[in-house]
Amino acid sequence: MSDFQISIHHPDFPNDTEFEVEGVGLVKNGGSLTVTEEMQARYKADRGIDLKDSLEESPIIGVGKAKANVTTGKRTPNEQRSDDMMQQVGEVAVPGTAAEADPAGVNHVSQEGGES
Amino acid sequence: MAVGVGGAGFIGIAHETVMGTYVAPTTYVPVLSEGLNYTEDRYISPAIRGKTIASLVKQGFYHAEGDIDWEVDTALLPYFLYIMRLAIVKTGAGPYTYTCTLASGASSGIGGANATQKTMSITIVRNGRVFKYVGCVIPSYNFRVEDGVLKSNMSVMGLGETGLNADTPPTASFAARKMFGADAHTVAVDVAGTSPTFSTPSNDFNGFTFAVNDNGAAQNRIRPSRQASYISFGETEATIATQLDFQDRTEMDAFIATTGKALRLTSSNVPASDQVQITAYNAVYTAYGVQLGSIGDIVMADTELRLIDIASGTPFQIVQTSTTSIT
Repeated sequence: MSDFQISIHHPDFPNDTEFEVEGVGLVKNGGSLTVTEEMQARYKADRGIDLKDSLEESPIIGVGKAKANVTTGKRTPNEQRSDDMMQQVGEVAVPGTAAEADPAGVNHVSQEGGES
Repeated sequence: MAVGVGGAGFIGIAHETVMGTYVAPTTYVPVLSEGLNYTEDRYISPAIRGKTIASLVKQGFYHAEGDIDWEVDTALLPYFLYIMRLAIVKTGAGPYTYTCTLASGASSGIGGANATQKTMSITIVRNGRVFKYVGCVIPSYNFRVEDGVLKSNMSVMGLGETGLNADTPPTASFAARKMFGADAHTVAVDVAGTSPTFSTPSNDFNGFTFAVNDNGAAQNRIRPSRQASYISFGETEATIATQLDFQDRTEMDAFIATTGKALRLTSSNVPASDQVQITAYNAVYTAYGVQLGSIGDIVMADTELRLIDIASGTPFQIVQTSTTSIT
């Protein structure tokens, strides 16, 4: 576990809108924040799941550095904008082509996926 | 897995690009309660075969259905307006004005001649488990002043639910909240018409509930899927319910004579960017009950008005200003 950066970009909201990101704190739209090991540990203790995994499920949140290890999940336009923004501040490694090559990305479950 | 508590759950929403295809949530909505659920017409075979109890069951058609109750927030309301049976005109370059009038489409869908302009994926996390409701629209809703706050109950119907037990919950990110408190509301009454002036506010209203029921129903067509094919919209029944101080027989006479009235509820923090205004242009009393309830009760009238169409106009209009831009 190590610190990592997140950015938030919600295209529908003004740039100065403050978002309360669960487990992390307040982040302004268009801004970024460092997620510390302590935040991650506290989230894990409370929710029982990994904070970074959970953040990566959100299309409006860009997750920096270790995000390069992600191999699933199709990028939405919103996610791509977040990545672009993080690249501008030099904090993120954009997910590799392995993610783009997975047409059945985890964020896009088919209609019938959960009905059984 | 430990048991969960409601407050630890949350709801996230996103408009869909293809009706019924799940989109991960981008926007999170504080709610007072929710009851969205998998709803199935399960087939239990009544075949007679020597026993008095059913012996076979098959999965049937299903859809998602249930209410979401929340405190109206103008940063979030536009998302929901787009999945109601409303024709919406968006103006402004930020902040924006959404002018909504009753549409006449009969089916859920994305734009065109459909009843709704968009459909929505609603993600609900309950006790750490993810529920993904797809193809959601709102065929029935209300806006009401309750406890001095503008609240809304929305009856959601969706095509299906696609969550899996192994799904990782997303991280909720709630935008700074906006809410209408007790000093934010004004009610005005005028004679029915297409452009009433509402020059004088009324101070007689004890509560205000504007309700619209488009009589939605899940429609199942034969295809290799158990999900609903679409949500149909039927007759629109719109009402306003309130309790009025009884001072004279004027309103009673209007009830008896079916006299049309125009009513407007304005809830406003900042007119240009944080306001909801609901106008009924032609409403007729369908109930007006006045009685001496008890020795200490104020004499009041329990009333309900039904909204009626008006020539060259619209029966009602919802105008909302917001900093949120729906595209």
